[in-house]
Amino acid sequence: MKLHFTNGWLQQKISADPDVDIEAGPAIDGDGGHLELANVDNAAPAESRTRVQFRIGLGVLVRKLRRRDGLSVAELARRADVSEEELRQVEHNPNYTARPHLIHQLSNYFSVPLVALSQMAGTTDQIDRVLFNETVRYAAYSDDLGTMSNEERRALDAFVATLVDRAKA
Amino acid sequence: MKELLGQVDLYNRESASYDKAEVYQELDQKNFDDFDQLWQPMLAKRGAEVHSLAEAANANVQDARWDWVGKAKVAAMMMGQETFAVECGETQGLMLVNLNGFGQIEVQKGRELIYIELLATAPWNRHKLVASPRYKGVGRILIATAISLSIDSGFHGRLGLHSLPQSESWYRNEAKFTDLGLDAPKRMHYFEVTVDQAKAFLEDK
Repeated sequence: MKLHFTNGWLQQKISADPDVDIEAGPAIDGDGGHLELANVDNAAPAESRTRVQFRIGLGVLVRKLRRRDGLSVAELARRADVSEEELRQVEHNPNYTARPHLIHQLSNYFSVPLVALSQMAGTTDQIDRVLFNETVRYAAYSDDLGTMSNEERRALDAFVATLVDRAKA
Repeated sequence: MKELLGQVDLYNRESASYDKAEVYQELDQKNFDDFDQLWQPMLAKRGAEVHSLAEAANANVQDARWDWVGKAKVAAMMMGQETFAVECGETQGLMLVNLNGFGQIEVQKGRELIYIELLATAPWNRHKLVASPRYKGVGRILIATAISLSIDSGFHGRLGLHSLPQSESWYRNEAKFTDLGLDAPKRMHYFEVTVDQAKAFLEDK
């Protein structure tokens, strides 16, 4: 077979390409890409009901953080370099398991500890009971109506501080 | 049998110049040895340092358990599969493609295409895995090679692939491939390349 490109084309394109690792194939959470990770030492194994409740909390948290920053779903997806479709799933579908990449990007974008978001997404086998209880409490007292009040903002800040504390614990 | 397809330019980030590399069709023992002895230890070491799948995804070590050697040996015996390597001294990138793919988007629904099963760059070239990645351009060379195979196979450049999350923006915004959204069973975005997109990808502008 013949290569249908020239080195002139290649040099021009490589110099213009951003620093992105170009790859294709099954992801680690997909079919067949299993990876041995360092142990995560936590308390209890997550059950399906716990996962759903955690994910409800994650959806509330992401919506609140997005509203706090005045971003649409599309704008947040663009800024955090994640899929808009997946972001909607995370915000509204507690049966959806977010992909690790999305959790990592949200953690970076909002400066919320990755270990806490990973547990809330239900992607870890074990969970921190304190974090779980705080998440359920936060989600139960949250609503999405209207603009964010000062009280809501304070509650959000307090919850994010809890996530940071639990990540250190 | 391993066949040299051509010499290509690979950007060396250290020297800020282009080095000559080779594109081969079909892997051989050198590629298997490079993967086992050079790629795997780096991927495994990094994998052992991360504590969650999210961290692993960000560190770009998803392919630590891809069985390149086994898959390449099977591909060598199959009519419908081909493997490719980019070499510059060591193996800089690997690709496994399937010639039995079919288009999903309307303009080419049911038409044959090349489906990229696996495409990976050597760990030392990944900016998410090492502080100072060595070469830039391996992924682009392999994608252009897959389009070349599609043209030579009579598929006019049509291509399909499932992207790793960190590559989605490149396929969407730089390569201008069609994003068909999240493929639920695989939990990955599926991208397809039409005849016109393949032509545009290889254009000099």
